[in-house]
Parts: sequence; C-alpha cells; structure tokens
Amino acid sequence: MRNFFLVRNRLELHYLRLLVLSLILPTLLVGGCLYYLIFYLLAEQIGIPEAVVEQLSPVVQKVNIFLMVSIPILFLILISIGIFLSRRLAGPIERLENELDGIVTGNLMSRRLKVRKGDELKPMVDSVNILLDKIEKK
Amino acid sequence: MNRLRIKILIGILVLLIIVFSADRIFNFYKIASCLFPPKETFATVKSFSFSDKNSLKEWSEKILKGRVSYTVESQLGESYVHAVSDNACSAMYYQIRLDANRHPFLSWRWRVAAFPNKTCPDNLSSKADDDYAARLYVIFPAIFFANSKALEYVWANDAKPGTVVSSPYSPNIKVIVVESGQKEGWEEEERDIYKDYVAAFGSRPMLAIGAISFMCDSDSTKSKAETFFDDVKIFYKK
Repeated sequence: MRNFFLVRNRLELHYLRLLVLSLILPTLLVGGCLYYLIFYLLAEQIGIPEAVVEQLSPVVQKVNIFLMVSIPILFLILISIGIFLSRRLAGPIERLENELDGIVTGNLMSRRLKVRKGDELKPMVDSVNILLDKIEKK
Repeated sequence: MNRLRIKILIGILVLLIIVFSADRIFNFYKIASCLFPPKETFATVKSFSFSDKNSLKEWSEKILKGRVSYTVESQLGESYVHAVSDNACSAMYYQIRLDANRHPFLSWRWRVAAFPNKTCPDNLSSKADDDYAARLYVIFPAIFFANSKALEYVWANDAKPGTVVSSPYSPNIKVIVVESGQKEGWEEEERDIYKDYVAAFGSRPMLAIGAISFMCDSDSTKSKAETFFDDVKIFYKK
C-alpha cells in the first residue's frame, strides 16, 4: 500500500531539493530579467522623465500586486511538480532497495524482484533476477 | 557535501552584497575610469548647430500628448529650432553616453516667444502648472526606471533663477530654473552637469548620462507656448 506523505525518504528529499531549485531558480532569474528589461525598454521608449514616472508607476503597482498573488501560487505549483517528479524518480529505487533488503535479511533466494509496467529500472531488475537465478541454482 | 554547497552559495551572496555596498561607497566605475580612461565609449563632444533642415533627424521625438512642432528655420544667416506647442507635449530626445563624474558641460542658446498660461506662474511644484516654454533635460537612466534621475533646466514664467526644486512627478527629477520671464533676444547658457547634479541631489552621480532632451510644452495649462533653441552642445572642458 502506498503512503501519502509529501516526502518519504532522504533520496526523495534530495531529488525534491534539486528539482525545486532547478525549477525555481531559472524561473526567478528569467522572470526578474524580463521584469527589469520590459520596464527599462518602456522607460526608454517614453523618454520624457515626468511621463515615464506618470505612466509607468501605476503599471508597476498593478504588476507588483499581480506578482505578489501569482508568485506564491507559482511556487506551490513548482513544488507540487517537484514532489511528483521526485517521487517518480525515487519511488522505484526505494522499492527495489526494500525488496533487496527483504531478500537479503530473509534469505529468500527463491523470491524475485518485481517491477511496475514501464518502469525505467526494468533492465536492471531483470539482471538482478538472472543473478538470483544463478545463485539459487548453485 | 550539501553543507559545503550551501556555504559556497551563502559565500557568493555575501560577496555580491559586499561588492555592491563597496561600489556604492567607493564607486569602482570611477576608479576604473581613472585607471583605464575610456576612449571611444564616451563621447567627448557633441554639438548641434541645427544648420540644415535635416538637423533634427539625429533626434527622436517622444510624444506625451499631441505633437509640438519642432522645425529647423533660418533667418538672417542664423538657423535654429523653432518649437511651437498648442496644448501639446512632446520632446526631442538624443541618446548619448557620458560619464557625469568627468564634469561634462551642457551649453545652449534659447529664446522664448510665448509662455504657457499658468494660473500660478512661480509655482514649480504643481502638476496642473507643469508647463514650461523651454526646458532641457539631462537624463541619467537606471536599470529600473524609478531609480533614474534627471536634471531639468527650465525657462520659467516667473520663478527666481537659480531655484532648484523637485518635480511634482518625482523627487528624482530636479527642476533648475535657469531663466525667468520675458527677455529680448537670445540667452546663452553653460552648465556644469556634475556640479548641478551634486547641488540638486546632494551626492555625486552614480549613473551615467544616457540622454539629453529639449522640450516646449503647454498641455497641462491647455495654452500655447513658443520657443527657439540653438547650439546645443555637450562637452568636457580641458
């Protein structure tokens, strides 16, 4: 049965940290650069200092309010994506580790590892099963 | 290993903060400019005598409300820009890169034929009366526009020459009254931008000059204004 804790083990936490950082940092960097670039170009286009202040200040206020609302939502979405992906990456490894632990501690050489359909670890699991076959035959 | 990475990240952040703070105090740009004097990056002299009809092609027009008529005219062998504003506000704008800390000078000639009809001619702090027959800007653009600064040399209706006030739009725009009231003939001006900046803002310029601009406007007062500009020149004194 699956459990539904947000982060279940150290490996998942490690992946989650990497994923969230690799999602959030570029987002912040590109967003920040765009934010400044757009206002810089607009200010240059308007030219007259009074007009720049008069016309762009209300726009900045509205954009800032929008960002204050949207950035926490965006972070929640990115963290959710991070949790989902980290689980997809760490889940099979964790399962394999548990099954191998079970075989080693219980000395159950007749037991074979199982993988879910489409699991990326299938070639490795097949190899381990062949190895277990050979050990059992000896 | 992870702790090491976090320490490296924190170290980089702290280093950036220290460099940024030190730059605010010591102005590395100025030190670098002294050690490696710029040759082609900064214009040493730019002069506009408006001697032919296409002289204004180098300038771009920035329109805020309506279009002020800026035309190059000649009379008695003398050519100049004739600006006529009828309830309009637009400026001629020229991008130029200059190090304000090297004491650049701005000189020009101007003459006012008609002033905008202000309700309170000597009030420089009212948006409703923020019209001048003639003004020249020196603009110091920042990455974020709210940090940009500007010096604004104006020919006011009735304010005392030498008056320096903040624009009603932003404390980062300083209005400097150079001439005031009706005068016969041309007036010649020469301003040390660095000195004016320090006097107006109380600190040396941290930003390079990015543009100069001249304008005649009368949109706030919904009236008419007419001005002549000539010999706009930006230079470093030897």
